[in-house]
Amino acid sequence: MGFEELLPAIAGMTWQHLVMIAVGLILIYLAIVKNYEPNLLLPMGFGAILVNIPWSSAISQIDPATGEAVEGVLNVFFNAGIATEIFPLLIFVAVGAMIDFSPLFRNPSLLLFGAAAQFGIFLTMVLAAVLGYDLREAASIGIIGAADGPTSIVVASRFAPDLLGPISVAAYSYMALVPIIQPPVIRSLTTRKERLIRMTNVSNKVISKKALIAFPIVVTIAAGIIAPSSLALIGFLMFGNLIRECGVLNNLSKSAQNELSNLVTLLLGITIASTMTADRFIRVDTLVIIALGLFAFVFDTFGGVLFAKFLNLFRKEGNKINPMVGACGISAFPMSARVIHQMGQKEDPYNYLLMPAISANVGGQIGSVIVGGIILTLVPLFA
Amino acid sequence: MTLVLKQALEIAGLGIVGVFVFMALFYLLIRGLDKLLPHKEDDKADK
Repeated sequence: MGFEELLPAIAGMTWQHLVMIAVGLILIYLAIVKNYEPNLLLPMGFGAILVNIPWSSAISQIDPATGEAVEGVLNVFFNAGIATEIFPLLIFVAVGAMIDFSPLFRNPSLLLFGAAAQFGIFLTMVLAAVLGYDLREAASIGIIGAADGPTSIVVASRFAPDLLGPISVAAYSYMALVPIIQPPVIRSLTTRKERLIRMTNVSNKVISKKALIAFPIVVTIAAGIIAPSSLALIGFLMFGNLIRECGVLNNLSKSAQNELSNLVTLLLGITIASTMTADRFIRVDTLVIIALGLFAFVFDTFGGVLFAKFLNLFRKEGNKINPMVGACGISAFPMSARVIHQMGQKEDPYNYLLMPAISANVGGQIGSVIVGGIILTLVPLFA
Repeated sequence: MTLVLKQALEIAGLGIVGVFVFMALFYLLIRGLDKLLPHKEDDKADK
């Protein structure tokens, strides 16, 4: 019996496998030491190690003795949970149960920043098309800018399953890096005078419970009539929110926010790792996708801030919007709102931007899902 | 200009307009719901 039969994993190990194991270790390091999205990056990192040991039984292999395919458990999870979109949609139920829409009811005009700050998605899609990606791949890369992991996974798994690994890694890594990515972009686009604007006219009124219950139902019906293909995304998000707001399913609401979210995120992370095999991940494409993801986040921030500055052209003195709040129109909640509030406090310790920032950030959560639905609707019409 | 780039630009244009239309619609829905179902102090269902 030769060395290859005795220790096939060592015999089959290549430098690409070693690089991927190092990538897995880096993801675990970022999760544990830096606390960057640990719920997802840790299972992804561990999964990356699991699938990059040659002949790992965690992923499907061809048995050299019989020539038959032996299905690995991660491939079973992938086919059952990601190819069918069940995992990301369950995450939407959990996210819906976590969202409080009352800040939007208090300041509904800030909802528009949830649209403006999706600019980076479309710009990145165009740039990816320029770089030679086909339309479906370009749309999947652009959606990294949604700053919304489940939306990125739904779009990528439908349009570009081969790119799912790098797209997911980029989406979740940049979500965790919002405090590093957004401030320099905002500072470069605003003057100190603009950053000092106080938004004292934001409402703090109490919102009717009935209105909060009616909102997810009305939104689902309205979105379904206009774009039925977006209903899986928006409907599951709103279903989770209805569970939260109805007042009679408190245990279910708490379960969705905690147990469901944690369990599905764990399965999602380790399952995405099944796409992080050396042959699929160690490509120039991966670096390009990671760079394009950063571009998308930067131009989302750009879109939100410039839209606020544009609106200020038409608003009277004393009623102007602090342009930094525009950057909160991305979906990374509540991280983006916190970052902007802290930036405001750094400029002026008595400037409290948290309330309008939260309103815009909730708008961003809706905006990212809407854009996901729009892309799922439009791309098949063209491609 | 390649066909893919032309299609991407068309989707980008439609997408940006589309997301603003959706958000404007949600804005109107929120204003409408807030007017139809205002908070009342004696309403036990309210926060």
